Amino acid sequence: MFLPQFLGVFCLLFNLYATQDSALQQIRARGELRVGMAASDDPPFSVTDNKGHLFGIDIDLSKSLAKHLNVKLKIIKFKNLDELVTQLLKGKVDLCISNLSITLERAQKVNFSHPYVEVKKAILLNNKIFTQLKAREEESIASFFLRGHKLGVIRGSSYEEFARNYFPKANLVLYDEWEPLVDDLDKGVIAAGFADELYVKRIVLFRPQGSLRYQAVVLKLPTDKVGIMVPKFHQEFLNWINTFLELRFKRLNFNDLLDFYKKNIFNKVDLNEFKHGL
Amino acid sequence: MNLNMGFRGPLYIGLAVIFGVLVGLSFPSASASIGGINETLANLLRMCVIPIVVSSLIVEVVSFLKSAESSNIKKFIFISLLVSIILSVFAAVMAVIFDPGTHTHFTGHSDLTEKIMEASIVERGIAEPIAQESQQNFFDIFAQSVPKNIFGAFSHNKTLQIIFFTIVFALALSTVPQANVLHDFFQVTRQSFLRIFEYVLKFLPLLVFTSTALAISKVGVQVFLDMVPFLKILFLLLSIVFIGNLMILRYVLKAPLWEVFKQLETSILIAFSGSVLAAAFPALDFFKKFGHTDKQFMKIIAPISMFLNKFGNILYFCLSCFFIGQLYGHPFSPEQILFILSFSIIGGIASAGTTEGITGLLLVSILDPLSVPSEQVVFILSGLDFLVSPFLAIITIQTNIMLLSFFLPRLKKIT
Repeated sequence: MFLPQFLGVFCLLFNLYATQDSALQQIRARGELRVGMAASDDPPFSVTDNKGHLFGIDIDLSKSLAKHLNVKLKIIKFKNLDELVTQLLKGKVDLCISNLSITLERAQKVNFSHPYVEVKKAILLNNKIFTQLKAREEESIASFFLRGHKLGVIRGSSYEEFARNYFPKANLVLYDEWEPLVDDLDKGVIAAGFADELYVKRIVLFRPQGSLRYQAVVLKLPTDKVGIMVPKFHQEFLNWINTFLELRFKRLNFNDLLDFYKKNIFNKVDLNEFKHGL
Repeated sequence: MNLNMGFRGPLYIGLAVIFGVLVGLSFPSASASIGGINETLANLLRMCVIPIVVSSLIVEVVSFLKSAESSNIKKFIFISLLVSIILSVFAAVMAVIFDPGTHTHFTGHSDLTEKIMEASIVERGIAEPIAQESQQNFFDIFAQSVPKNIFGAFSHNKTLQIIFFTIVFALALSTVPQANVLHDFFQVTRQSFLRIFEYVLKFLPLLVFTSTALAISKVGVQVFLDMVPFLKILFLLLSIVFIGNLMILRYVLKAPLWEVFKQLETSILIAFSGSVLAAAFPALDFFKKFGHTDKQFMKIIAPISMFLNKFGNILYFCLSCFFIGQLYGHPFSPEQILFILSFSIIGGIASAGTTEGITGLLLVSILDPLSVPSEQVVFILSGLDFLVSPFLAIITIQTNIMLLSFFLPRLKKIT
């Protein structure tokens, strides 16, 4: 009596498996790799130069993937992470490359490739607030947030999830973008910001008086790994991407990102107009 | 010590500074290779300083205690304190009026700014203390003026410890009946080292040239450009004090202004060698040139005053504290201003005879209790030391001479 039900489930799974496994063939047949990305610039991952051309690490990676698949590249932009995931699951894009951190929560909905970028997590402290602490010499990041200091994070980012895990007592303040977060940090509205070391060190290194106004604390925690997001069950495609990353792409760390930033972004972008992340 | 400046005159020193700046800017890598020459000459100078200080102090303390001049000490302490207070208040007023901190922006990238950035980025576990290792405070520095081991103090060039030991030793020596043997020994030692010192000074322009080229190549010109608002006010402050001192000396000594200035020339030029102590020696001859030579009080108090009353540093500490506060947008309350004024004076004394870089440490110790995050700016200020130190030395020496001139009428009466 269970046979019809069993056969039904088997057929569904088989059909699903067969459909998903054909992702590579579908891309080749279409002659186009559709890559989903967040709409806003995120240097050095994706940046729009003064002429409106896209460039950056995620763009280079996408181009390289398309080249090795021998197809054209089509980049489709979505306004936020939720939409990226939704459109990926609907099959509107083949994969998402958008400085996406690998997290357990996200991994429940989608699959991630092996990381192509690995950076440390870091806290950006307002130097003035930190210096005013009475027992500053004994203060750790953990004890600092136990006092309920305000910690700014980007809404829906992996760092919102990390912050809730590592600093449950912190008073979280959510921002849509990094720039207003840093402005509030500068004014002392929040005591700290939480992001990857590139975001944090960039403020110290490049923002006027950054090294005076802020203290960057790179955390000795498991690193933040950035991967390519693919739909569940696209196992063959995921395997191919992992092989590609293994053979054709050097995993990048903070220094590589900073070099890229210095060599490419400072030369191509008018920093007076382009303030994202600075 | 009667130095004939010859080719060490102002023209040569000026040319050495100009060439040093040009070479440092144009050939930074070549400048690094002249480090050896610079170090040799600087060490030759330093080699003489400690023996001269020790022998001078021993000879003079022993003679002093046998004379009847010790009653002037209270007056000396009072005037020293008064001058320190006047200078620190003056520096604070200048800082508040001109507000250099709010006009300063660090834009360039140099070795120095890289260092600041390194200090602004630390790696820690989440339960590990964030702050860098705790800084020494003032009282540690005073406590460290007592040497554990006098040979250690000499071998590590701890000048404050050496001075402390020398004074204690001289006090003990004065109570020993056979003191004359050592007294004569130290007198001859002093004369010999002064002779060496004079020979070394023949190379002063070369030393000034190599020091300038080396410092410019290391620091880079951008830092100076960034710090122009601070440097402008500092040099304005130092100039006003310098002119004020000259006017007072002219009044007290009843000598023409030019004559007073001329007698300071040797000290001023030696200050460019970077050694405050070295510049103090010719200054001791200042009063001799105005006919006040033999008083034990002057002989003993003048060197101690020059070593301990770091008036230039008091001005610098006070102005720097306000500058750093303004830079971080940290307004000071009246109590905090009083704290800065008092601790700038104490910092001036604490910096006496200490090694290079101590000014930065002292600044951090003043500002730390006021919750001003100063560590990073102190890197910049330390990088400017080579430029600022000679002028602070000049002010220290000249203000000490001005202060000591108040003892002259009384000494005249005794004579």
